[in-house]
Amino acid sequence: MKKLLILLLAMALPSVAALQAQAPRIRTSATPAQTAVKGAEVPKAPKAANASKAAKAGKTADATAVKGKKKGGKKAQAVATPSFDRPYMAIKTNVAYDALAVLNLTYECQFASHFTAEIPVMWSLWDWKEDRGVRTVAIQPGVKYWFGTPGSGHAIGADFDLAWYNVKWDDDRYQSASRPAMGVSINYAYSLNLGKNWKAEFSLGVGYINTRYNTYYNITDGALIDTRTKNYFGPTRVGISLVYSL
Amino acid sequence: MKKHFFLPLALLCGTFLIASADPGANIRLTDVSLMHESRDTPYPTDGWVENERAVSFQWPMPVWARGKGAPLDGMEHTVKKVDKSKLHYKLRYSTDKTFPAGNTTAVETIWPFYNPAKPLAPGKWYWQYAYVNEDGTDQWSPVYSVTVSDNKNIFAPPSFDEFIAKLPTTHPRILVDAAHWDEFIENAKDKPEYQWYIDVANKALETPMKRVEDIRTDAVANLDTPMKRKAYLTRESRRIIDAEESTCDGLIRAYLLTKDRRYADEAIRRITTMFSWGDNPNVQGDFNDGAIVSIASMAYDSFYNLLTPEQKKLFLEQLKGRIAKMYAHYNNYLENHIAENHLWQMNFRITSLAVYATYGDYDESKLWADYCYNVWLCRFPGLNRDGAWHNGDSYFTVNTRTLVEMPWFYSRVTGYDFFSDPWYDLNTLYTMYHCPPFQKSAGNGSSHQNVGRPNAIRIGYLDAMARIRNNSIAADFVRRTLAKEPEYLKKAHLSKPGDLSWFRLSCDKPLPTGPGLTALMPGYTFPESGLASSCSNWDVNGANHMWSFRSSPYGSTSHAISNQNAFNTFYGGRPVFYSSGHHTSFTDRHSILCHRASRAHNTILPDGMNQRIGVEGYGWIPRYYNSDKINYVLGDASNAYGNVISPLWLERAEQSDVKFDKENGWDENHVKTFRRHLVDLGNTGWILVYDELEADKPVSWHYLLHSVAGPIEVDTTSNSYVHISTVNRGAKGDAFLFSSGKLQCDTTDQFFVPAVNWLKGDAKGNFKKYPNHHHFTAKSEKAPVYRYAALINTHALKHPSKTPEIRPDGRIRVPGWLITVNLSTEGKPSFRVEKEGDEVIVNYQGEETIIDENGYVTTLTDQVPNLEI
Repeated sequence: MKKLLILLLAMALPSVAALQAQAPRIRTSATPAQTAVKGAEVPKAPKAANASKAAKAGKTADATAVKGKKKGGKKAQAVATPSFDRPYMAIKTNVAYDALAVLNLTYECQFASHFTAEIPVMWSLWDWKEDRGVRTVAIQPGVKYWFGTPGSGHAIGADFDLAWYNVKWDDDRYQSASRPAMGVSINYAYSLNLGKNWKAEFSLGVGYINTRYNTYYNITDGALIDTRTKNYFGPTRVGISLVYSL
Repeated sequence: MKKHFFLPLALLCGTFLIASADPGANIRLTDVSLMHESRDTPYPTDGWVENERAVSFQWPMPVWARGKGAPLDGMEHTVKKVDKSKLHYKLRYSTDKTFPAGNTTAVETIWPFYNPAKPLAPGKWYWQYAYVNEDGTDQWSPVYSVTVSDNKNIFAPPSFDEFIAKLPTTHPRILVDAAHWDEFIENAKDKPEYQWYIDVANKALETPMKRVEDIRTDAVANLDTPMKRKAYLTRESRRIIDAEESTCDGLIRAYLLTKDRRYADEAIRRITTMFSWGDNPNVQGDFNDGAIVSIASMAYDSFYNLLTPEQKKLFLEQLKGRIAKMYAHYNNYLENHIAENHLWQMNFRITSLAVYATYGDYDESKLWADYCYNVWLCRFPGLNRDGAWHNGDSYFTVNTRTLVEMPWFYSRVTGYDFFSDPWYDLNTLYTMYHCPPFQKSAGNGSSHQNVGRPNAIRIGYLDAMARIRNNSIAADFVRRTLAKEPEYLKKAHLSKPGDLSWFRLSCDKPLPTGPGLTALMPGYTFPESGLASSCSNWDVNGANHMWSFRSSPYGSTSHAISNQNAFNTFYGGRPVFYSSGHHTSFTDRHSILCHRASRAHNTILPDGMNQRIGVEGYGWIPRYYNSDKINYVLGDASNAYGNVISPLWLERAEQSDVKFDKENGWDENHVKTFRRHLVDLGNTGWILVYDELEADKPVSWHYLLHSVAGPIEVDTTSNSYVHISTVNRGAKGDAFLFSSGKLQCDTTDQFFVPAVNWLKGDAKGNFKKYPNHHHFTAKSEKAPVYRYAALINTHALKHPSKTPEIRPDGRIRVPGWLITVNLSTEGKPSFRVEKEGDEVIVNYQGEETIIDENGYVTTLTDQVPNLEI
């Protein structure tokens, strides 16, 4: 997750790599002649060192991309199996999460007469303020059973939860360790027609999540305090979504 | 104890490094002292390259004329009398070392220094000085050389002749220039300090003055030594005199702000009364004369046009008599003294301004003004150039008015910016690094226990530096303080050594904006003064891990304590493992044996014996490296131990009923090597402290840690280390001490000598009790060679420390870092510190320290700092 965040940040801010290439700020008793660039006659080594870092990041990026492709391929296959004349399809965003700077987009598609499948993707890559912020990338793929027509009225469903996170709050920073937070939940939804293609959907989910996370001092490069595992039972989804049916 | 954590691979790598090491990487100094109570070396030293300031020639006095000054307050009568009329010197300098006529400047002087009227031209110069003997013969020194760089921006203030030609001949001329008086009043009216003075003056008009008979003497009978009786009376007489000085000062300044005659009349009445106070036997100490001279000279200058001829005569007589005494004391003493505290703090400033206030009104004023101005040029600030304050956290602030008011005055008169002296910007760094916002000071110098946070004087000083030097970082420091306490600066109003209210009235420069505290690097080292420290977080005080370290060529003289190679640790501004003891007085038994002595600090004692008191108990910093990712400092206290041999301190001890003997912790020196490496592991709160120890016989190496807050807990259950911990409210320190062999650990909450408050009572005579502190000692078995490595984590109490993980290959892991240390008494001392996931490595294999930071490799070998006296 950390590498992914770094990658995303690096993509968003190309200047980061340029900054890393700068020589370190040093004050030392050593004479200027006693500081040299490692393994190079001219100051290429820092670039090489950081290029090496960048190469590492590149590797991560490639690996992630390949992984994503495979996943995407499988899902595309799964979604393509059912066939209906006019299946219900929608994209939606949960404005409650948007309000907390957790941007999100969900694609939902009918695959049986009363069933839909959806893939909500949530991401937040910003801090609220210096010592508080929720950075996360999460998905909650799931299925819903609609008591009436899909996309209208009441529904119940189940989903699988997967989240990578990096949350800082006052003195501490919490980061998912070695694997993402994982869980399952059941949920209830109600969809309200707003006219034409627009709907509002209200949802509430509860479930179980298991996560292993590191706690750090909430300062730059803050020290690792400990690593813990937590089993969570409780709300897993609160949604007030704006829906556009395709 | 685990004996040996040594990575074989590191050994292989180390073998290569050792083989390729410069044999001169480690320097073993043999000097008895690096600095001297009275100048013992010429300045510039032979071969000096000057690229910062105009050359000032300074040289030692004849040995017979070197004075130690008063050993203690109130003991001025014991000072060796020197017939200074016999002191005559010659100086010659030239670009030709044969000093040919026509290309040589020859000077005769009565002071052991000379400032050329114009800066020396770039190039190589030769110089020598001579003592002129009573029989008229000259005793010449060797010829020295100095190279002046071609730097057009050197600090080169105008000569005395230029200064004195510009000194106004009208009054007032010191606190305000008569030519701009009305303009000054108009500008001042809108500033809060204006009303502060008026309020003080109005209150003074309604309050009877204090009486010299009010000096408390009731506790004198209980004191058992003349030193204690003198010190007590000095303090109590200052309580009365300083209070009146402060009141009169307020009246004088209120008059200058309003021209209201009532304030002047009241000040004149009070000062005239005080003229006779010096006759009272209870008035002790050299500061009291200074107080009278200060207010009398400012009154003379400020009320010059109001005083009757009789009053002028009286004031001038009183001033002249006292200034003559001061000049007689200062000349051929102050300029060559390592750092005459009382004089630099206040009395030299007071004398200088008094001479300028009365300049032209008596014959001697020219000589005295010449002396005062030129001593300022050649010696200010009477310290080395790195900007740190040798006397530590508490006594630094008592110099504040001198540091600001003198150059402010000189700049106003001459038009030359005296603050362009590079020392000021460096000193601003010292002020910030050694007492971060809202946090405890670094723990150096006597009385540092009292510096719980930057006080109003310190903030006032930073405010002045921010304005004068356009220093936005200092401005940020000030703003952060004033945001929480807008009236904070008022706490220093009329503080005798530190009030800068008048400066703010006369300075219209705004607090600058720009980069703030977060632009500072975490760590900073002052190599000449021997100080280092680091803060992990300049932005959030409550999350700041800090450490400080001292290994100083100044040794332990004046207010500098005997803490060579000692460190202190802090979290959130609270001291954790921290220097102990109380400044009960300058030299009583507790103060010397439990606050000044090394047993009070986080250092190491061979067989429990302390470091020397005096300049002879010195350390130094041969290497340092500060960056954003790593901080490293190496201290060398190999010369710090042994019997006390300083004549000044032996005399002080005798007068204070203290013996520097084996029973009290001083003995013949057996230490050959004590080099302490401190590596700050990023901003994690972890530091590695690695000690190389060697003696000329087997000794037990006592490892000390102290706490001034919570008790010290010791856990010896690990086979690898001793775990020592302590808590100070929300902060905790965990030290994991690895060593060459088994340790015998002990803790106590008792001082070696109890801290009894016999001196510092309040105005009602109540004496507050001093709390006990907590002390940990780990004693090794006797060994001629020994090594310690401590991994110390300073952190928030609510986040327990991880314990170091000992890996099968011998490496030690703490969060984010891998460490290899050689604790064996065999082989070279060595360690390697590596950051996980980043290219940051510190590698020491007994010779150079090699630091690899992101592809930049720095090889550190010992560098002896340039020292000035």
